[in-house]
Amino acid sequence: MSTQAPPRPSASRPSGDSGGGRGSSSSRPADRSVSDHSRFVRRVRATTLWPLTLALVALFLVAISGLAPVIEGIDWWFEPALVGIVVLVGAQIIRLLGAPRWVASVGAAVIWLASIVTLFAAGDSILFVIPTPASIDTISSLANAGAASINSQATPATLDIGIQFLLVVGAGLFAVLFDVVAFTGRMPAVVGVPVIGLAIVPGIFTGDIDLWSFSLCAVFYVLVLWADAGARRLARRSFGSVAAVGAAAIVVALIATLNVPGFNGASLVPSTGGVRIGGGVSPLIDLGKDLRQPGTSEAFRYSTTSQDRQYFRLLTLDQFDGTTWSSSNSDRTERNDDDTVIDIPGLGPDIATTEATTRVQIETMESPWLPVPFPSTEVSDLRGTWMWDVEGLTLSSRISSTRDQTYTATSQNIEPTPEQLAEASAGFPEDVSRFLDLPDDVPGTIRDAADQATEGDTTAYERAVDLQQYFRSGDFLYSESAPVDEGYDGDGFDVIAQFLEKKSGYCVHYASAMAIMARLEGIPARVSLGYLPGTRSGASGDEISYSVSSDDLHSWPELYFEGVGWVPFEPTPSRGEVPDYAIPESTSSTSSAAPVDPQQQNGQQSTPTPSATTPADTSVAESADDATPPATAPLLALLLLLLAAIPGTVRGVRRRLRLGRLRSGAASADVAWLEISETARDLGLSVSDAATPRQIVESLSAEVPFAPLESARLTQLLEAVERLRFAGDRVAGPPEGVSLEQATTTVLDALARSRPTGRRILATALPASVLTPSARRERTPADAH
Amino acid sequence: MTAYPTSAPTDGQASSATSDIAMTIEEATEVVARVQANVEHVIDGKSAEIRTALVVLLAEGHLLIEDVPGVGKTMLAKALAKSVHSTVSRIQFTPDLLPSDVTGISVYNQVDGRFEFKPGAVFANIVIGDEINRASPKTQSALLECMEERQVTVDGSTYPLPTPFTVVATQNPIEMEGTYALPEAQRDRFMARISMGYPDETAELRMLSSRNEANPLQALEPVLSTAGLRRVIATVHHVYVAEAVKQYAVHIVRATREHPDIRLGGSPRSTLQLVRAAKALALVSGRDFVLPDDIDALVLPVLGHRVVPTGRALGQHQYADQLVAGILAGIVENTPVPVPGR
Repeated sequence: MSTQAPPRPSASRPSGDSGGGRGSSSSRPADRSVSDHSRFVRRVRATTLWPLTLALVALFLVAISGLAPVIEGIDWWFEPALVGIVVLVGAQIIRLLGAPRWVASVGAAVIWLASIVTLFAAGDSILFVIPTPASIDTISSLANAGAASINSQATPATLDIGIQFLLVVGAGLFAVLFDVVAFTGRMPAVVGVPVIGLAIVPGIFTGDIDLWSFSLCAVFYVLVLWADAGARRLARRSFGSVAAVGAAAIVVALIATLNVPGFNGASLVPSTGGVRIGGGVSPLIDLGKDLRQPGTSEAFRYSTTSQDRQYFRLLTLDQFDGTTWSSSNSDRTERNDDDTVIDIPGLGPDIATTEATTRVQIETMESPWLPVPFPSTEVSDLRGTWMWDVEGLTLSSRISSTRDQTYTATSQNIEPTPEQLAEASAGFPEDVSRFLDLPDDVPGTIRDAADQATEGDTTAYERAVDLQQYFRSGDFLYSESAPVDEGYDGDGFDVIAQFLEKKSGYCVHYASAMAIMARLEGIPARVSLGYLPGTRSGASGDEISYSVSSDDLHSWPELYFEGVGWVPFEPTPSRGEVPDYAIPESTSSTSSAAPVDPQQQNGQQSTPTPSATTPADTSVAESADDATPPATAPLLALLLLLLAAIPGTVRGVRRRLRLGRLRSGAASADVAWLEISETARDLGLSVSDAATPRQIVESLSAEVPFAPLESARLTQLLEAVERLRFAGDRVAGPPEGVSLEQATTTVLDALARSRPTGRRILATALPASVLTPSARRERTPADAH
Repeated sequence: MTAYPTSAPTDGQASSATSDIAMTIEEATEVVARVQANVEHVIDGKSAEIRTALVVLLAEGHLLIEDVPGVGKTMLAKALAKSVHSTVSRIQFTPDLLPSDVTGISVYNQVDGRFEFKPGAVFANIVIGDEINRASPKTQSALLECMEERQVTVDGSTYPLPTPFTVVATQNPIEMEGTYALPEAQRDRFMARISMGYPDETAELRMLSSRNEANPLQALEPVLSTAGLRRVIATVHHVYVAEAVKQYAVHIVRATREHPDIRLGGSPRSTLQLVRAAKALALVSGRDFVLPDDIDALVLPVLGHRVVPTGRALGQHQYADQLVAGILAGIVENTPVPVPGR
């Protein structure tokens, strides 16, 4: 009303301090008065944040409970729960002290760190919370232990201190994230994203979502939204809106998380095609993890002169201790140079071999083992230092990596005839007999199965083929997830015994089982880890190109026949291909020359996609990406679409109802006004509900070029709503202009027309007035001052 | 003074409105617009300030105009007085002005052998008190008492002041020697304070040409009689104030008392005056009911001079007025308008 006042010293003299000393002193020199006031406001507001805080605590507890399928027992739950509660409530207390929200979030992080120290390294710390170098050491070793434990364990994992540590750290971080998002970011709705992310973690491991825990999270999530709405004085009037927001936010969170790596079929870590093998205790368990890892990426490419499809080998496991197959770090190594040629161990002079050269190109795959065709004798053009294991014919390096390597491998593909194999003598050289070693406690089931499968066989070769046939006969199913789900993943005796009962597993089980059974039957055996031949991608001249993906990881048994050497077998149904020599005689009569078309062979995959299966297998084999079973995917998509349509529908129905009531005269100008201000907000026009109707008209007129008629209609509505709200029972003059409904429609049209098409579509599909009723800032004096 | 009515037109106060017949809102608005146009002949480009001055006149309050010298404070007061056909007196306050100069004095009449009351300058419909802060506190309080009581008591006799009675005081914000700033309690008597502010460039240029010939004040003709003014004032009493708007006003004034940067917040009297002024503003705007927007527009003029910021808050600001204006704007912004029926 007045213009700026000129400089003027204060004319006031101190009088009674009616302010009551509300503003306590502040340490910030600049804008101290302002900061005092805002601190006071914050303190008052913070008290209104209790319901939201408690709702977040509840949601947090429910969310971490969703991890139950992954960890054994319930003891793990208490410490993460405690830390989460302390973090969330602690931050709220900091807010109650008048700190800005971001300070409270920083405080939450500090509480998180301090509670980690207290729980795990109190002894090494000052006053139990301040870390010292010693406690940091303790913590980092705990972290390592946790990581190692996760790597080595199948789900549900047994709780150990390392996992407990990681759980507490993760849960605390989660709580801090809640606080940051819900309070500092003022977007409590967004906590749905991490919550649903957490809810699907067990899904990543076990392959399906626990709908109960998911629904429970959803319920508590809506509670959070409601509490948030309550904090903004909304609860009474818009439960419908809150429910709609809840539904919509769950949709958004679902969509968001479905696009998050890990659940959408992409890899959790940006996939490099690298392998985990060697990271954990058991290479075979690691292989299982790599196989189950969602998403595929190219491991390497190669072009070869070989007419056969070659398996690539990374590593040979020659020792079995009853629980794990491992590699006996053989000292029979030789450094690789371009001209190094390795002899194939045990290869008899009569065995036909075909030399093939294979050019392998690796881009991002990282592994300490080099994929080479079996049996390679020469590898050239390698960078770095690589050591041959002259027994397993594998190459490894401690310091070099496979990344970005391009090299040429020369291999001698052995083509023994069944006759040659059948003639193999029963005696073995000294150094081969260790491949018969087994612990004494072989379960009876394995022994019985082996004996049964090889009953009546006379030669080692017959026994080997029958063992392979035992697995491939159709009784066994290929499944990457069944063993994990039912708790018998791995390669130990117990696991294999269970596997033989359940008759469902993946290559690790088949390879391990067949190798154990072969040893039981007196055939030296070992397990190889590597890749299937991959997918043919082209040919030029006599070279055929292939692409090998991370899904082609495989393991298979190799059996030793004196005079022939190491011979691979393929017991895994629907994976890989059975070598000519290993095909039972009844079916092998025609295929000794060139097994170019592997589809003819029983249950083998077709060439283009390794994961595709023949019809015979489709019914029984689970596909690799069974995290989202095919049947539920469209259903889920439909559900998502329906859910996504909710906000727009709610808004549309509301508008129609309001206009209908206006037309019939059942509704007053208030309803028309509500419709206009909500539409304006949907369209992204700046409308504050704290503003008076007149101020809303002013700000709308500033943004929307109203035609004179539209302007008149808006004014008509404004006067009607003002009169309705503030003129008491004073009779208005005869209604001017058109009906309320017509006036409203005119104004709504004008509002919509003023916005670009994209904005209009957005307003229709995702109306802000339905999605974020929180933007309605109906404040009471209590929170305003 | 106990209480002003907020909406009831009848009460035992000094208001004369009871006896006057109210006009229709349209008539009253039209009359007020005429007065405003008349004053704007003299003071260019200051319609908001003129409107506030009129609002105070119609709400039977007193107006404090505070600004640097030479911006037209007195001109506004005079133009306002001249536009209404009413008695006007002007008191130039000086340090040696006596209370009796303001109120009047009883003189012994030797012819009649009786004491006779000689009315002071305050006996007029519109009293212009120039540079009120230059008078001694004693004289100031004499005037302020008249403002409050609307009567003068000399030697045991009480003389009522004419109605309407409005004091338009001007005050120089720059402290000089021999000035006595009005204490909080006395500032509270003024319904509103406005600052004139400097005119903009075009207005100042126009002023040069218009003042070339003669003082335009001389040419100003009254457009409203005293009786007419009384009728307009009576009409103001009929302006309706919704419960929600009353709550809104109360919330705002209460907020000033609770604000941590304010040492002295608005008095209950200021709440009354805020609503009364809002009623007058509603009438000036052609409405027979008050909008929250009316309250918003009047918060600064009505509360600005009453609110005393804390010393600490002041320490951070070079200009106390800006600080107070900022605080009040923040309060208005953060106080929600109650929506009836929700």
